Amino acid sequence: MLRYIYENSDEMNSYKEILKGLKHNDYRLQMQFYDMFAETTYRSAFAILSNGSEAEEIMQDTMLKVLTKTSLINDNESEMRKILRRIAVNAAIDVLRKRKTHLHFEEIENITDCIDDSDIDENALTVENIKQSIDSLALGYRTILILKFFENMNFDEIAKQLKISQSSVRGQYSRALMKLRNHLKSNINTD
Amino acid sequence: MQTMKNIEKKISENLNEIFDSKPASGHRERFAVKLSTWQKPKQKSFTLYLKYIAAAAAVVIAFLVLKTENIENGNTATNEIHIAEVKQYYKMRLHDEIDATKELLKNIDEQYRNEILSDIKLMEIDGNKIPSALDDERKAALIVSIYRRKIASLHSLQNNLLAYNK
Repeated sequence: MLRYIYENSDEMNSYKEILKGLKHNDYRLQMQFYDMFAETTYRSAFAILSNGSEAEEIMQDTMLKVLTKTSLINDNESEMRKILRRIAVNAAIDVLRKRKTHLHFEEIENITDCIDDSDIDENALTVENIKQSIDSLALGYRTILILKFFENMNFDEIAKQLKISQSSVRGQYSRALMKLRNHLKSNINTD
Repeated sequence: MQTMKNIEKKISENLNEIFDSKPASGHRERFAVKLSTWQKPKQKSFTLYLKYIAAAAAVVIAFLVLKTENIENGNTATNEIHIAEVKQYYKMRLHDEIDATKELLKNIDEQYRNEILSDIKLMEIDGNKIPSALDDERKAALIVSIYRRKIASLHSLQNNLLAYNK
């Protein structure tokens, strides 16, 4: 089987052809399926975990799960991508819980303590600054922002995913954005 | 609040750059190993299953041989032509089932195919002695019972082969 690893997979088959091959456990097409979705699935896991090896393990387990349980395979390529990402996100959140890290979501009582009305210079809002600021957020806030933006989930879906109330998600989201804003501001001022 | 909107907008517009992580080099090779190790046990477990079925069929046949040898009955045979007809009919059915099974064995690894074929060969051997002391009715019933069990074993083997060949 290892010979396939070093062989170039010639040209990529179409998604439909790949699906046909999966039904017959065609190794070459299983690897093409992997090539097609590995990166996006990995990103979803990495965004939550911020750990490369754990994210890779989740991504590969997700791929194996789908390849071994063909009922999970979707005929539509973008739907398939969503399914894989969702499985990876679920697994990543489970890992966070098992790690017993503080995936803790406080109920929001008063968020006025972090409101800062002063503006940020638009030009200072660089991608690198935003990236750094997101990384600096507490795990709970970061997870909500990732699910909202990167996984494109609505508040209801996030609430179900994290097993907290929808109002709490909304509150945490607002607070996360404020913290992000404050962090960006202090970053920019330091620069 | 305008700044908040700007931050949201900026994140949405630059998702791919903000979350641009890539798996470490060698991930494809690592997955290929995982995939091939997953496929091997699956194949192995099915062949073991086939072997189990074939072995079970052999046990049933051996049991029937012993059982028929031990049966004793004082009645005498009266209609040998009728018995021969019954036997002929079931022998024919058994051969049909053996042919059908052999057809399904074409896609199996040679090593396992040969093992199953040798078990099937045992089935073909008419080694069951029917005690002559039995009356015709009981002789016929015994013959039918032996052939039916052989055919049933072949049917379950065929079902497994059909599932494997899918």
